[in-house]
Amino acid sequence: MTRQIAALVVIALKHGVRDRVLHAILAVGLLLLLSTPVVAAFSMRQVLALAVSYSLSVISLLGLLLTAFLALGMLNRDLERRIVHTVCSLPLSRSVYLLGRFVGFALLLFLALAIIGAFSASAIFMLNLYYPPDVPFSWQTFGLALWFQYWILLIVGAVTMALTAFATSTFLPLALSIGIYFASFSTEAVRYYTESGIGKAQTAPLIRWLANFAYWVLPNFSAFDLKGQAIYSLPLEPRALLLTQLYGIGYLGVLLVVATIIFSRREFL
Amino acid sequence: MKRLFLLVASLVLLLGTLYPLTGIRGQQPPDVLLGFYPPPSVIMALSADHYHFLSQVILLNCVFYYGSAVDRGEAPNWGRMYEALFTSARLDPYNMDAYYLTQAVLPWEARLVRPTIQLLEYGFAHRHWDWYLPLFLSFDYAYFLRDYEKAGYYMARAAALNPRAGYFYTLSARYFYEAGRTAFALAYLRELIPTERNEQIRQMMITRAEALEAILLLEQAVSAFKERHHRMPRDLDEVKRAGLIGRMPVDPYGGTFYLDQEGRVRTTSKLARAGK
Repeated sequence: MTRQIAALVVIALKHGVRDRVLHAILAVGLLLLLSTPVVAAFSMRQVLALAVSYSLSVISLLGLLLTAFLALGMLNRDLERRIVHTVCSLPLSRSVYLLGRFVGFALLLFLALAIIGAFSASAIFMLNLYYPPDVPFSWQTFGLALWFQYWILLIVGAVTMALTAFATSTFLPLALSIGIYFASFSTEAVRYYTESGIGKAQTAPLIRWLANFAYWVLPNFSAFDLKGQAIYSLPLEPRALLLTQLYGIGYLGVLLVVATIIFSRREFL
Repeated sequence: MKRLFLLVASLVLLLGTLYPLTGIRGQQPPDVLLGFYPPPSVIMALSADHYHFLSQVILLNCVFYYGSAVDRGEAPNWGRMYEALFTSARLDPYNMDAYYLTQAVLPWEARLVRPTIQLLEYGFAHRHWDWYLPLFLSFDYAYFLRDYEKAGYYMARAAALNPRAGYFYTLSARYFYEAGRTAFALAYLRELIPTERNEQIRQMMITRAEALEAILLLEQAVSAFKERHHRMPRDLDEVKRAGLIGRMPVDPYGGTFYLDQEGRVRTTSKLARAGK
């Protein structure tokens, strides 16, 4: 099974590296990051903080575009071009095929984010020399912010693949994935509010139940968001980071298993 | 040929309209440049993980808006500007630029002192390591509101966060003295002097403490006079003649102690060395 997944990963990587749309997204990303010093210069008191904030926002936005393009494209292209029919006629289980495509997506995404992250780090390094902040910039926190950003996108990619596994159109998985991405940053704050004294008094029981349901079902991306910590070199809590990482692995595992179950039962027409 | 013609025609249209359009857009009221923002909670819900950067974008809009208004000789809409700064700070409570612009402009030109203080206190609750915020707060309380007790409290916080600025300690003590809490000011300095390693700062603190000690002694003598004679003394010589002080204490700054119209003990040196 490992060799089969590895073969699928190599195919995905080769395909991805040659893809012009991917190159275009990366080129746009690099251009945006080269503009970091220009944008950061507008700050009055915190040039480096603005540079980090801008860089991480660009990486997050580009990452979302890359995820939508890669995760959707990987499976959807095979389905539309009926390549999956040929692949599934081989001695290869559908689950292995899906997992292979996901691992390929994950590695491509990692490569793309590493390139963009490296450019971002270069810009930040130069600005840190000229505009050192009062609280020294933490490369460790910046690296962790990028790592957890990667995990947010991995989960979004898994959601996209799970939705693509049963959807018959391209639009539905894309729209739902992006909707889930945005909603997942709000579920924690909404839940805290509805569970607070004021929230309980002002919200109907049904709304509170829905808020709780959304919090437990959707991924809690707020926990993965370390942008504030990276921008202002705020302290991190190791226990919270460990729990977040384990939560991410668990959530990803559930999504991939569900995706493989759906894909195994799908009728290819 | 057709494509070339279309390209040239389009470029002429584009460049021909860009200049007048720029002029028209530049005549827009500054309020339009500032933008209209929904509540911070709505922005956060809709912006996923980009609210830190959006906070900066809103702040930059405020900077451009203020600059445009000043450039035109118009008074900015201070209420809207404060709302925008408030939104920026709520989106990212660690955004120092928002507090810096607020302090630089609003209490001075808009006389929005209390809203400024409210925003700065919100910022300090988050940026608890930043000595600029308590410094700003101390200044606002002292200069605009004459609330020397709060000014002293925040200056003491700034001093604790930035021990290299030795004058923060002595200024805190001065504020406490101005608030009528001379004993507290003296106790504050006495607590800090033994632990101060910079000799120059230590000497500044010792000098201030000696002056406050003298003032406290005189204040206690004035209180005793008032209790005994049921009236305020006319001057410090009367207190001395009443036998409530032995020798008139010496002001280490070289001044002379006196009683002001409100019966407060003051010094002609104003607690500063002449020429400094």
